[in-house]
Amino acid sequence: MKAKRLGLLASAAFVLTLGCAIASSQVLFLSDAARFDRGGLARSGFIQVGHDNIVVDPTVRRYTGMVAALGSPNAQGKVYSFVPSPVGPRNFPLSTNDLRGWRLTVLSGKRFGQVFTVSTNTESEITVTAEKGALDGLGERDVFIIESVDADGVSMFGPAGGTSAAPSPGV
Amino acid sequence: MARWSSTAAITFGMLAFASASWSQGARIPADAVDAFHAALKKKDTAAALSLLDRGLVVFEFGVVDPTVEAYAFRHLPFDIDVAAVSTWSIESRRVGGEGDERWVLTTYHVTGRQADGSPIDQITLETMILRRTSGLFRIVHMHWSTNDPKFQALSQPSARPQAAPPSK
Repeated sequence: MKAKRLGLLASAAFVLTLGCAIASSQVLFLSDAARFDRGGLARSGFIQVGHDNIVVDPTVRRYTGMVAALGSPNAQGKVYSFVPSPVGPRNFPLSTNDLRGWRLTVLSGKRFGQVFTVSTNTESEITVTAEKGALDGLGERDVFIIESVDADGVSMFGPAGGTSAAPSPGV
Repeated sequence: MARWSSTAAITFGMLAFASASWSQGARIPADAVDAFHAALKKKDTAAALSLLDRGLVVFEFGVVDPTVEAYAFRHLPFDIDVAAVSTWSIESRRVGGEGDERWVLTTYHVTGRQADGSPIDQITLETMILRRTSGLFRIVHMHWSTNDPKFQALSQPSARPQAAPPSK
């Protein structure tokens, strides 16, 4: 009889533990961005602007934007260019080859985190080099950042002499 | 000569493999955290991104980046700029968790110079939660705060009115 009671208690404890585990697994966790209640987050009072308390100058020049349209494919059907739409505080009106040799990193979409090197640019189109592959998978509305860092990771910020005669774009 | 060539080839191969592995997460949670900071210091945007889980949420000094894209677009460039002009020395670290989810708590003594030449000298507290996928840990949550009283005084008045719970 005593053993039976002990067994019942053990079963109850097991069920309680299982229940707690299931309940805790239902807690919305940070890793699940798709289910993250962004509206609720905004309503909660969190500020979505600003940063920390340290004020520093930019260490590289940057151009941020969104893909407005993909360029035309070449003879092999590969796309290496796109039309940018400037987004965010780090952009400037483009002049021809402003971004030549700069590093482009995709910040959203299927090509998230992929790196390309800008080959050429016009006022309205950016073309990447072929060495890191085509822009396959890049989609309209994908965001990107282009930084004055060359293919070897060396900063191209400012002239070699150190002083700049004119304000640099992207600072 | 042949031996030298094969040794060089093996060494190069190992370095290439190590580099590739490093840029795609880490097998040890604390290594992922340190690699992230190293990527910031090197201004390596892609390497930093490769150490972030796609479900990343960042809490930073009372503000939030609700997605990895938001963090990458708005704050990662600034964090790179800060890392470039400052030194983050680990003062203490605790690690925990189990299975595929771990945490790394670190306090840093951050020193350097701000844009106006004034010194940076503060303690920064960092909470990192990491998730393992495909055998590699990536950061799924970051939370930074500081002991800087000037910043606390500056941030609290602006934060307080918005921190009220939503009306029902």
